[in-house]
Amino acid sequence: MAWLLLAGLCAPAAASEAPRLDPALPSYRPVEGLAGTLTAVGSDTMLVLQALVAEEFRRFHPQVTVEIEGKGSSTAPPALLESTAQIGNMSRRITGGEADAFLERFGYQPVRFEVALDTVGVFVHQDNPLESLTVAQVDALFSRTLRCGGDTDLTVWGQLGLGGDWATAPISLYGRNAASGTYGYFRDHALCRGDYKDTVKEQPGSASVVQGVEGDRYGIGYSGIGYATAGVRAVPIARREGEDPVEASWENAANGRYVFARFLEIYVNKAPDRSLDPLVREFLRFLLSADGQRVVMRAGFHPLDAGTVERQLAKLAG
Amino acid sequence: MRSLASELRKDRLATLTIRAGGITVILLVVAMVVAIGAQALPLFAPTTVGPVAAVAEAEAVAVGFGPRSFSVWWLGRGGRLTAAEAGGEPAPVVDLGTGLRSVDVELGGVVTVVRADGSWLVGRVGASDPAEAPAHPGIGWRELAKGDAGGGAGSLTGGTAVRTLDGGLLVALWGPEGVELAEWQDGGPVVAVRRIPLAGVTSAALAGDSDHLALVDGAGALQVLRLADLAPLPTRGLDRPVTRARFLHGGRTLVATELGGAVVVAIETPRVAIVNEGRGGVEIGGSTVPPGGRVVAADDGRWDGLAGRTEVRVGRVAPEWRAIHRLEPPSGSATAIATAPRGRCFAIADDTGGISLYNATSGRLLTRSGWASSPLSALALAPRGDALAAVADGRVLRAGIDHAHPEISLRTLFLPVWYEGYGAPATVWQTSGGSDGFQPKFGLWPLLVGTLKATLYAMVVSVPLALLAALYVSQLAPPWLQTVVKPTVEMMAAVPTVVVGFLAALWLAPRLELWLFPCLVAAATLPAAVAVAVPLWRALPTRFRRRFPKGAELVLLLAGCGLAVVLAVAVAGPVEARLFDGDFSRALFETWGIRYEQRNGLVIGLALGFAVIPVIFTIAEDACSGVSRSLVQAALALGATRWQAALRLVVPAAAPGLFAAVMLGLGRAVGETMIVLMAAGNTPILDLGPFNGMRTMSAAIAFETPEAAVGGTLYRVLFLTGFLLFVLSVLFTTAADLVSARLRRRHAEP
Repeated sequence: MAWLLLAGLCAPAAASEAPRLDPALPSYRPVEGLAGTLTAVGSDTMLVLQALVAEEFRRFHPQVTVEIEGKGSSTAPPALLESTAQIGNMSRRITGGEADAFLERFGYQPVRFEVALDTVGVFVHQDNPLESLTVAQVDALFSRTLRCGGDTDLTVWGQLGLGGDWATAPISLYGRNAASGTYGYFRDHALCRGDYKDTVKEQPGSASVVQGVEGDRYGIGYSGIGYATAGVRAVPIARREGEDPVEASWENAANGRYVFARFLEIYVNKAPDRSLDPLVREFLRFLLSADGQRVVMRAGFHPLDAGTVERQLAKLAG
Repeated sequence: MRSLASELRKDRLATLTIRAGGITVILLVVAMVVAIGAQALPLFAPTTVGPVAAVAEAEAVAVGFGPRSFSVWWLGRGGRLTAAEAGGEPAPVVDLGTGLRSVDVELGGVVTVVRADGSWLVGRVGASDPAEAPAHPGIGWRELAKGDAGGGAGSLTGGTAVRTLDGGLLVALWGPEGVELAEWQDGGPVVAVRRIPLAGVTSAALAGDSDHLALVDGAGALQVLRLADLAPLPTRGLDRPVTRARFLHGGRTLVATELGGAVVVAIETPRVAIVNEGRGGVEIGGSTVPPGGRVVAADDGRWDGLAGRTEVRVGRVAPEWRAIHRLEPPSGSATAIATAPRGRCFAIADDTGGISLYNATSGRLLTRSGWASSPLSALALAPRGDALAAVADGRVLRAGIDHAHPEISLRTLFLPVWYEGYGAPATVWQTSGGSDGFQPKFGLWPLLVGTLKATLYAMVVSVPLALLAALYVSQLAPPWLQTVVKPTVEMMAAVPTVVVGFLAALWLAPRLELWLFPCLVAAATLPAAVAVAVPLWRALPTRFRRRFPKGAELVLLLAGCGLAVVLAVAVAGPVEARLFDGDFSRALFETWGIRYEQRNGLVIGLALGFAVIPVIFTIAEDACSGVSRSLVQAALALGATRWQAALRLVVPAAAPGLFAAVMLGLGRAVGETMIVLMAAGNTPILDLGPFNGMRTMSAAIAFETPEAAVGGTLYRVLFLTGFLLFVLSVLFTTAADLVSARLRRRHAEP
């Protein structure tokens, strides 16, 4: 598919300062004789991550093939439901409705694993002089419902205090398609659960959002920070008017100061009275090891700390 | 003789084979339509309530569902909370003590109990939060908060509690002296306690997911407060006495039952403040606002036009709650309202023992059923909205509901719907939100308009080019040119549409944006150049013209066209600088309020047109070549010019074929997916303008199918979209056949 191609061409560039790996993370100890095919379906944000993880994983287990499809987080629950995938990648929480459908079919909930930390950046063109935005302003830019407290619909750059040729330039909006977890995450956290404007140009992948902004001087868009390129700039975001704007950096995502930070998650179908398919178990064990988290960093995301990893590994045991 | 018999046999065999093939094709097409239609049809299935069964004999004051719709719990008058699965034995869950004064059950099984001694208790029954759900659904009780006599609210008469989005708990308790509002962190201490000195409150409802509080007093007056500042919000159409009120899931829709029995659905709608910042008066809605003046108005879309006027600033003020539906009343006066944590359905129990089921988005009464001969005292709707439970005559009753798609009706698909947070009814396509409180919007018009728009611009580009090219190549061009042009155009058809879309999105669109004005100027100068060059050529003396070989005029014409383009580019720069300050697309926005989007109708017209040209050209060229050569030669012999012969003779004779070519091109453009998916911006807007994007039906299907759960509403609506697309194609093809047949008949007659 075309957007797979697009995403593949534009491997995300790591952000300015590299995140650090928690030294307490366990390293991966492979088991013997693993073979078979592993299918992962879901988030486009996690597509590159999963491709890199699969590559590393296959170094330990050359008999295993990993197939990855990334059209958006909303494609993961149907795939788990229809058992067309063993791993559901999601960049947002599963909704109650999706979990219900699963419960109805299997009699238990899918099990959730946090695998990486991501930051959603609000990107503008590199020439854009905009210094910062508040959450309410982001809402006023992207939504038609203004639920975060803004009082004016923002359509022209001049409304954000930009001068020169920007003063009367219309704001051009880029976003993800509705299947995307980033779309749902941004809707919940930046739009206060409001509705997107229908003038947001929906792109089939994170890379095409960044590409769109890169090629559009008056553009603004949101996407995982891992997809940032030299042609765009992530705008610092303040939670409220009067608070200090916070840079979309790894450090700020990890310490919780940056507002649009989220976990990237994997959902699997695990019956409570049975142990997980060894293929899936090993894949998760790898991803939740120091080796796997190193790949997470390489893919442009923030690794988990040892405490979080331990909590995830505990779910594998049950 | 033997050979004749065998030939006849072969003939019969061939006829049979062909007939069988034809019938198979027809059957396959019909089967496809039936298959697609069958997937879409359940959208319109009526809602039915299954047989009512007694789960247990109990004097219950409250009832509710566990995480799955076959597990029911109830709270007895003596304070015992008991649960049972349908057909199973009742099992005690917890004893909440005697002397219950009021019991309230909110979404997610949050139960608030106020006792006669003034103490209160909030807890949760069952588990519906996916993060905490046990592996196998059981019903348990978890205490969330409790307290003694409401701090300043006097002796408590009632209470309600809801979960907030961040996992906290909001508790509202009321007594004769006022309302107390407490906020709890999950498992932690009270975060904040606030008092509302409003006496006489008899019932209240909280919306944890939107931070609203609705209060009803003894006189039936309804007040909606915003929790952030406890400011009462304006309400409209909610001025009759109200008996009870409840928020639906998402907290942006409020259902109230009126004293007379009517059911009202109110939603949060925006209001705008319009400030005149200019020096003179501004006329707004018929009255003049002086400089510095301010009006607050309902944002029902009428003020949109003002936003572009520089002297006026339109800002938003706190929203109002506005009654948008007055629904068919239940059979008697309402005794309970039940809501579900998914969707916008709610049920109302009445004192005649009946239950009415409604959908707030469509404003429809879905079904009404009789449950008992005496009043129903408690009511619950299952988490997925697929079962009802009620209490009457000392029995706990349960029935399943069969309705998969209550929010879909022909009205919500094709007519404007008033959605939460919108200023006016609108046709909107926004199907998924990634969270539960989202109100899906399935308005099909934006997709229909998008499809027509993409088709329109593609046809504007392709029809003249393809038809004229076909006429030229078949009638006027020298043979060597024919041998070059025909395969070239046919090769265009071989370019995968993904590649065309890719190029259009990433190469053409940015360049067109950069060169917009020169391109528009060239679009005007090119035909002008042709119009000038042709008479100029003919004005030249015949002797001079004869020196050139046949077909050479083409080279001259091309040179003229090249000149026109160069001229356009040369002229466009200075003109744009002088007239539009050097930026035409900016001027478009500032002067006419038209936004130039990079992915737009022009780009789609060019890219989709490129894909359609070979279809039209090939068939049109065949049709023109099919016109008998001797007719043309006769015309030429009688002194007609080649152009006259082509226009007066070939075009009418080939008209059926030309028409069929256009219609086939149309069918191709309507269904084309990859180009629009990649280059149209996918904005589901209702606008036919050339400078903004669109989302077509085919692109919506390709875009949204992966996220549609099999059998879900989106899944079926997408099938319906596919069905409509098919119907559109069939309509075009049938029209093409009918018109060509008629044309053929007309031309057959001498």
